Amino acid sequence: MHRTFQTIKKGLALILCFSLLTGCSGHPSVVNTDYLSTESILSGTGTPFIAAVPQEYETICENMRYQLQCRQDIGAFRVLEKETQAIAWNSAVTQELYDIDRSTQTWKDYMQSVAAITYVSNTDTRGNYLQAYSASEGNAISVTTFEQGMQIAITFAEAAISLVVEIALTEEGLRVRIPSKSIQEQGNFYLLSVELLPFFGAAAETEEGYIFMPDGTGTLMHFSEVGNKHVFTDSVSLDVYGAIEQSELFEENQRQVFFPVYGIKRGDKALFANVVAGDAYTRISINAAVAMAPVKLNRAGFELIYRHQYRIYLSNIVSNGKDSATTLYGIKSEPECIRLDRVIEYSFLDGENANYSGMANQYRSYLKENGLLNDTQTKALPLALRFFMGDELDYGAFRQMVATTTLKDVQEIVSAYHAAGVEDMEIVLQGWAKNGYSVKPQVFRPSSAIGGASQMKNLNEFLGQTEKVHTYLELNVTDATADVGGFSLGNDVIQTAGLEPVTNKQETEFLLSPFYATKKMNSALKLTKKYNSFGTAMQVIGSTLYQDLVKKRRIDRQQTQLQWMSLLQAASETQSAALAGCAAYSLRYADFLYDLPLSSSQHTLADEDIPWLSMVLYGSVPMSTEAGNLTSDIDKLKLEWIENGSAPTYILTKESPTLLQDADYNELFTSCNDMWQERILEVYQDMVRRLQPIQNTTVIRHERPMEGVAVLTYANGYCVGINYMDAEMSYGEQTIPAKDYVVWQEVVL
Amino acid sequence: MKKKLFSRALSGLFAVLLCVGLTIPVVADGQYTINDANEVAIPDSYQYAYTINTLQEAPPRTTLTFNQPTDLFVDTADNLYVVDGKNNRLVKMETDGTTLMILREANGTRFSGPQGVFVAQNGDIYLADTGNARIVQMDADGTFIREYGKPESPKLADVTDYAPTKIACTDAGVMYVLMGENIMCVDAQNNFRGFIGQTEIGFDFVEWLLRIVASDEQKKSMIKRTAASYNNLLIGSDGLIYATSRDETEGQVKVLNSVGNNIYRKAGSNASSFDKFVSKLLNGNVINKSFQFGETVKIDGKWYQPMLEDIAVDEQGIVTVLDRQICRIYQYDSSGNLLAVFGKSGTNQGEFSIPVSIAMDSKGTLYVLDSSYGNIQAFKPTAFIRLVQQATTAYNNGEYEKADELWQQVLAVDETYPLAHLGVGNTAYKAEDYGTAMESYRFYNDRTLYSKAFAEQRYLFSKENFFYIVLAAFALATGVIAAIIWLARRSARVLKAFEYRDLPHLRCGSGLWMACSMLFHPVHTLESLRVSRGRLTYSSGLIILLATIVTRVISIYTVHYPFQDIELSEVNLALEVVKYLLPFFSWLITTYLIGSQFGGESTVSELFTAYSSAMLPLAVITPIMTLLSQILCTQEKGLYAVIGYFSVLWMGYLMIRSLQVLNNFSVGHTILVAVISLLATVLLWFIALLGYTLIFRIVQFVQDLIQEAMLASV
Repeated sequence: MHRTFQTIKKGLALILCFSLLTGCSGHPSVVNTDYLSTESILSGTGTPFIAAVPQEYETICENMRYQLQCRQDIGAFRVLEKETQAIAWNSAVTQELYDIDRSTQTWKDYMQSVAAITYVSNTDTRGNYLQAYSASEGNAISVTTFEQGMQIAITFAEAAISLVVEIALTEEGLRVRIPSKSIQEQGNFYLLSVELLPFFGAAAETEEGYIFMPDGTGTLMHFSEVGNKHVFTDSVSLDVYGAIEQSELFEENQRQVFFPVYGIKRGDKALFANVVAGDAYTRISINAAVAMAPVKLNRAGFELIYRHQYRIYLSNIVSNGKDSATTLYGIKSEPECIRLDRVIEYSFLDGENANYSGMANQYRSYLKENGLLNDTQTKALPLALRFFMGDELDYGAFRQMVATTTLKDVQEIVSAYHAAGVEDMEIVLQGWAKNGYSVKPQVFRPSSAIGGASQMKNLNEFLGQTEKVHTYLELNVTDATADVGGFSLGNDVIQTAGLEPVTNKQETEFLLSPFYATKKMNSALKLTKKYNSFGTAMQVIGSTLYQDLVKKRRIDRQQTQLQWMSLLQAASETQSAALAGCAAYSLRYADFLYDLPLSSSQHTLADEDIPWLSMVLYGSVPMSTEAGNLTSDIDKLKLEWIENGSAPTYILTKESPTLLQDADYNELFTSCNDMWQERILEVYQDMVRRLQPIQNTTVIRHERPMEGVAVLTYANGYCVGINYMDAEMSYGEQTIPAKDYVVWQEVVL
Repeated sequence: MKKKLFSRALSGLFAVLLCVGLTIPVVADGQYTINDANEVAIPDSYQYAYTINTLQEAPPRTTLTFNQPTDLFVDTADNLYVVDGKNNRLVKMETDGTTLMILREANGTRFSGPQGVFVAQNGDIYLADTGNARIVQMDADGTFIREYGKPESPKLADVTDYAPTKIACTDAGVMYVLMGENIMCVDAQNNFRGFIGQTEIGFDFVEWLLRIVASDEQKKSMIKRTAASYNNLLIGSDGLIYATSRDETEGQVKVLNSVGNNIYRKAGSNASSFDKFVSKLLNGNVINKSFQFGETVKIDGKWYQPMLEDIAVDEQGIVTVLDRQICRIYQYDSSGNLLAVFGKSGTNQGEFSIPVSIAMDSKGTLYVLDSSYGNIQAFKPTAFIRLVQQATTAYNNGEYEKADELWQQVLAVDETYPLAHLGVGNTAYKAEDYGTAMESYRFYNDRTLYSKAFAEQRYLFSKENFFYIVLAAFALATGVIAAIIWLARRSARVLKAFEYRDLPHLRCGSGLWMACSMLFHPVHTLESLRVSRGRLTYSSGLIILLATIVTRVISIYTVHYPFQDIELSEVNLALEVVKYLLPFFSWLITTYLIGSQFGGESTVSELFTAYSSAMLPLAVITPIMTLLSQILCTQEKGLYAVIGYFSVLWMGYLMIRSLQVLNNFSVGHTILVAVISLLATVLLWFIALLGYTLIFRIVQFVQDLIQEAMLASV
């Protein structure tokens, strides 16, 4: 009965679909872009109609710079540059770019597709993933146009999954959108992810150029170096704002991806892609033409995640008690897909802008124009100090806080630096809460071991008199450690939809539910408001999103993002806010960014780390990175600070870090201020004096003209040349001493 | 709360039972060293420099990638030799990957699954052509010189599948070939010169016991224990053989002299477990500084010993070993002190999948060959590790002043570097600055060295204050004697009062005095208790039990550092309580039940009062030992242990006496009941453990059911 009903329903839908599609076939016409109409187009399983449409590219629309052309049979499109009349960018791989005939049909389809989906049977528990490509035979594709672009409605026949890709021409390039409402799952399959424009901008292995990845500070994969890579490692995936899979949240080797962007430079042209909506569920996929790659093309694209999966515990009951010692697991998909509009802007760069500097300039403009960056206009180079106040020692039967720096010590040390001429300081106090640094969830009350409320009040008054010293109390409202307690595994920490707490391998670390984190944050803000000279410094919130999939308190990454943003707004409304990280969604609230990376995660496909992060942010918000006292090469780190726009950074204590020998946190190996003060002043004063001309400006270009030399060009015409080599180097008319840097004015504005 | 305490106690007990002898290191993000099984963060010691993925400037039509390479060697001219296993070739290249030579055959036979290479000082190449069961000698240009098959020797008659894997060679042409648990020595004429370096397998008590009771058939089927096998070897510039093995007892890193004796630091002793037990008995239960080569790690719930695959050594005897299993590199100085640990598995630059070989060039750059990735990654030493290497080398060469200066420099960049503290401690000790030495040794967490410095400090102090010390000792002795006499008299008065019913009922205070009298007049006191049924109290016994536990806990935190028997961070209060109460009450219950079966007359209250009173020696002597430990050093740990044993024996004596007197047993009867009670106690614990396991399983099953039900509703 049910089957008959389904057949009738499908038949009706087919008729409706056919009648609508026949109206749309042939020459494209302008149609209403309202998605209600799109939905009606998609409400059938689709009938192949490839023969009915021409296999040539037809012009869809154009603006002053570009013309958008489309091949309606497979939905492939290309962009013609009007000035040169050359095809600048193509969504499908052409025969000129790559000998497609060498490939299998599956790869041919993939290379022609505007979208490729990964899907799975809705009853699957074994992770049997399937893939479908929009250009494959049998799929239904219809193209409708509107004034500035077109909609490509795709029905993947075997998966019975439909979606619409809307492509609009803009002054900079393209704006591509997948409306959430357009996604329909009509069969027995679940959509997991969509690879959007997987071969857009793909480059041959012989081409000049690179792919820019926003991993850490930013890194480049040069096409010329791909041949020397490991022969099997042909791809890398970058989850924007931390691991999207809950099971990966505690894995080692996490990559820090703060921006939902990537770029491809091919010859004298470049493509820059930026997710402007739906960034919380975005993965960046980079594929390289290494020796054993199935297709020798270098490419990058976004993989848009549409469904959560989770591990389910197949207990002994399921395994028939055959192996009671082995725990068996399966994978299940959530029934609901993630309903989120996805919008991506592709900018085409050429000439002097066709490089990663141009991409950084483009992204900075985007952030500023959309009010996404808190442009604090840094006027002077600050000294960034992090004071490690203390941590608890575990004596088995009891725990005791050991203070490495008291609040009074902070006041004295800050006064000493102030007296030595350091006016601008960005200070973060770590481990100040009741039980020190490692005990989480933190109890937001000044520890008596560091001076308690009375000394906090004194320090607050002292800081009130020092205008350019910004001090932040570090808050961690997201982490929880098992051995201390103070939270409930059932109610307070995030869990999978399979009701397992998300934890590390040792089952000692957990993440607090965003709701619980909000409660903690609100209580913390009450305290920090009491001490109004302090700002708040937040860990995790400025860098990582995660989801809690327990039904009763379900919150996905997008909602977590909104939650974090509201917390940040609350924190920044009354006081200044510092963030450990610089996720794109958090930048508008940040007055200071600390603990930023100085490199990428150095994946084997990466060839050259670039300071892309600081090129976007320098001049807008002060930044600090790695601590000078915890490096094995301070001379090199000093140059890296300058190249990465970082303030000189140190983690200090009043007492020797040997006190922390038996503490949970024992990463400090030298931090005693008495040992470091003189050296810090020397480094800082030298940097302040020499870098004065480049304060309150932005970086417009970065290049490495020769090995070991970096040159930064600033918007005010000044340049900084940095020499990492052990020998003196020359750049133009400038001579840069070994392991040093020079500042000069290139253009008088 | 009680439930939590109980579960903590149980989990603590099981953890102690299951994890004895295992180290649980915490994996840090950065580079580190290990001090007494604790990770200590250090500045970067080695930094990733570059990767060689493909052969550069190779002849046309050459396979540019490695296929499951097996060995790597760096010669004196800093050329790299890669044994490219699956490609059946040997590649010689410069350190930047520029190909110099590719060898595929020798003496007309193509290489077959080669696994090891060694290049002599004169440039001659020795390749272990494993598949062809030969060692091939070639000159620096790859010209064939000679090949060596299986040497002719009756001692090798059993070796049917001769397949040389790893090889090292002296300047005189003597070859050392890896043969499982042995290193085979072969001279330049291919004459067998014997096996060296076999690890002693030691005495196994269980095996010995099984062999006594097993039949001949069973003995045949018992697995023959073999010595730990070697993984790789190398001959250093000092002519010594540096090798890695799977020897978990003595340690996985060995430096063998020409007769095969391991002259390197030993991680442990291969003495029999009985000898170890006796040694522990004589020396008392104090903590010794733990050390092992590599790390024991837990992967997916299972513990794994280090798998040190390869070894590299420099001119100064700095040894670097590679753990294939956890992809980590450990560097030790010539005395076996750990300098640095780095490396991890992963897909990033500087990370490994299956690292199989490590080599060091003359500049100190380390090269790591990865079999899975088919690449070589280079790591350059930082200024920090160079400084450490210089300091430790200076110290090992006897240049103490220079070493101290260098250690001070190390401390300027790493205040927590353990070896620097050891170095500073050693220098201070030599300069007779024992206070500083003690402080440094304490940071280094070496109780033996600390105690040595303490002994010197104590000697100096006693020399300077001899008169006052004698005076204080005399006063103390007088005070102690007076106190004992007073206690004896006072307790005797209470006993008398109790006997003559001046005290109709024991109260808490009088109960304590009765317990005290048991120390001086045990039989008399116990007989009084036996005839005083219904006049006893539990309160004094409980107080004594509590006092015993409290004094133990206080002792843990206040005993002199060298005499600590547990690391403070590992103290489990619940476990300490259980350690005292569980045996006490088990003994109480079993002796009562078994005693009653043998016609015993005692009641539970009598036994409880007597047994708790018997605990008094522990409660009294533990604080005395704690105080005494403050002036003792580890050389006197025998005395300390004897006092401890005395208190236990005294307690045991009082318990047995209590059992005898309260039940009116003969000596033979008492011994019989005591033995049966002990066995019953063990049985009781076993049943409890079984019950716990069963309950745990049932709980797990119910949890499974609930989870299934909840998942079905998701």
